Amino acid sequence: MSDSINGGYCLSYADIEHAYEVLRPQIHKTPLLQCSSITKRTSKKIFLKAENFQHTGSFKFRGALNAMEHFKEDHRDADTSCVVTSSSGNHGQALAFAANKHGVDSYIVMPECAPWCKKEAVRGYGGIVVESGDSEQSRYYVANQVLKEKGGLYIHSSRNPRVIAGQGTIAIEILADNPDIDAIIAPVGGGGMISGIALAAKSIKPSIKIYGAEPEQAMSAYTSKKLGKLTTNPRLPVTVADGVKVSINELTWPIIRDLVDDVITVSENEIKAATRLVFQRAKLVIEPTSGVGIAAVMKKSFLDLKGNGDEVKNVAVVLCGGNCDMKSMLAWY
Amino acid sequence: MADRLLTCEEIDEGKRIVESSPDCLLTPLLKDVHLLGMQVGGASDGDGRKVHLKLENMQTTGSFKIRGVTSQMTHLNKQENNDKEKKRKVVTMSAGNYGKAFAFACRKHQLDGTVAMPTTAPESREKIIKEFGCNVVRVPSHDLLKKVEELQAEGSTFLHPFDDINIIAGYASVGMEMVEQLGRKPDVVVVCCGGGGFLAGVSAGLRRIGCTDTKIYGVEPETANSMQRSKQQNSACQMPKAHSFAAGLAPQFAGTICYNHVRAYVEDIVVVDEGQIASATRHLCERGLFVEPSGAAAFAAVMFDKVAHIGGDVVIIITGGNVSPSELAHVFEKASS
Repeated sequence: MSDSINGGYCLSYADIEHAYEVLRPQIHKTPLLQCSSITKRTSKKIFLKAENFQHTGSFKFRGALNAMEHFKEDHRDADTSCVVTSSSGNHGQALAFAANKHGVDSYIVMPECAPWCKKEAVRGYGGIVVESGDSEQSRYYVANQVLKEKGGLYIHSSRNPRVIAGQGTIAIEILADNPDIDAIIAPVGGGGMISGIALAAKSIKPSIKIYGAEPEQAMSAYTSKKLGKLTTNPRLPVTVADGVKVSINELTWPIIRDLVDDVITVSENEIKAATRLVFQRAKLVIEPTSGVGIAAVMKKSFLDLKGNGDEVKNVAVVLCGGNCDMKSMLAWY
Repeated sequence: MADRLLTCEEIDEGKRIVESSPDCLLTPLLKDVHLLGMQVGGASDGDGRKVHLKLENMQTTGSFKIRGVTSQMTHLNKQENNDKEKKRKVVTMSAGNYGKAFAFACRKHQLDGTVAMPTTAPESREKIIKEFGCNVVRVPSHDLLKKVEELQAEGSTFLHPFDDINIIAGYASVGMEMVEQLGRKPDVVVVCCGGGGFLAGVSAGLRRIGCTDTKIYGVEPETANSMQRSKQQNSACQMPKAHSFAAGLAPQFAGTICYNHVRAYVEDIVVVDEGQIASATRHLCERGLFVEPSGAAAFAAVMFDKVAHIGGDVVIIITGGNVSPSELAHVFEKASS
């Protein structure tokens, strides 16, 4: 094992190892399930990391809890009376729950168009929902207003080293459960999960391949890698994968640039078909964003990704969450 | 057939058939779900109860039935086929998961299959079965057996959907698998019960693998408790008025061979109501598992404290996941909590 990866990133492998020690007694060690229905449709053996079973229904809990566990020590001279974030759903729920565990108030800025069930879930965990417009700019504007009025600190869903370290613990678990995993693929929004996973996995097993999966409608990581520089989504994406509309940022980009082997994009129909497949065959409840990773491994072009030769036999796909809004899903299921 | 119980050889053969068939999957045993935030009854924190779920909803065709069907058809194909030119003809009656598994397996085992189903069955069921290449014939419920007998007279072999020693032998594999996966003998096993074939098989398998002290419970809807009544009356009984929205658990009689095994091995049969089944279904869905109402009945029994003496390692079997999201949306409206 080496933590000698030193690209000047905002965190190190030691931070992820430490995060795992802190998080371990409080998170679910989710199962790595074999899935023959999906394996049949690819030439790789597919394993599903079922983060839909995680506390609050998505992997975001890991990062949010790691941020809260170190909250006071990281911000000794600051106002730690409350936390604020803007989130289309999963990070908001996770942070509300994690903050509540630490007796800290949380203000979650959510777009008006976010699914009702996600807003209710945030309230259920003790968070306070503050509505904004749809655009990223509107969300940040409203969040800044809240910070001015209430004080406290902003915890971003991916532009935060503690959050990234928390997400990286997913890779520690995957490789502990099955050291023969040759590649890990995960959906990419802000890049917190893929960058944490890439740093941890390559530190544990340098030969492992890491792939990102994005909707064609929201492909900031793909475009950034193509152009060799950080490139955000030009406009608010319209995609059924509502968890990955955010663009990657200056903390996650360097790790994605250096440690993610390739990124693949999938169409809306491919995401929907993959989500349906998981419901119908794997009988797991996943949100469409989780379908992005499944759609990716079923595409022929998955085999063309850099380093994805015959020696890559066992592929773990992260099912990032199961917080699906049944009502809106029924419209296209 | 009065006291017919599976022999050890028959159970071992059933396991061998299931394990060597590419159609039957080794489904996961999700361990320690009490740690995954699932409500598994009162006092679950204090009494050292550990709850595990055997996920047969992830089985081929979406329910455990394929294990029984595979065993039935393997035994059938060992017999001589009188008309070697044509495929052997088989017939069954089921609009549910058995019918689906039957249709899937007919194609795999090179059989010419017909499924008789009641006129009240949804069209979607007929469509699924026809898509596998099986014939479907619809008759009123009370004429199902008559239609089957007609087809038998024309040369079809009748494969009973649950009261069949070969089916039960196929299901025994689940009882044995769960012990191998858990790594120790469970203290309690809770199983959904319709005609009783699955309950019979699982309990026989558990005893075969040495779990003589494991307490086994069957769970039925309170409006379709034919097995509970059978246990009370000491004989397999009919229940013409059995009904439930969990249709897979509401046949109009408990199987005779099934009842024999239940009498010999099962601790008790408990019942749950519609609201409880709906709550359990929604609860599991909210936590990431796609389960049909019939498949959630056993979980409902534990969730609502219907099972006495529950402690230690408890294995609940999730029997099926053949439901659509829109059907589930309707079910959630019935939830009691």
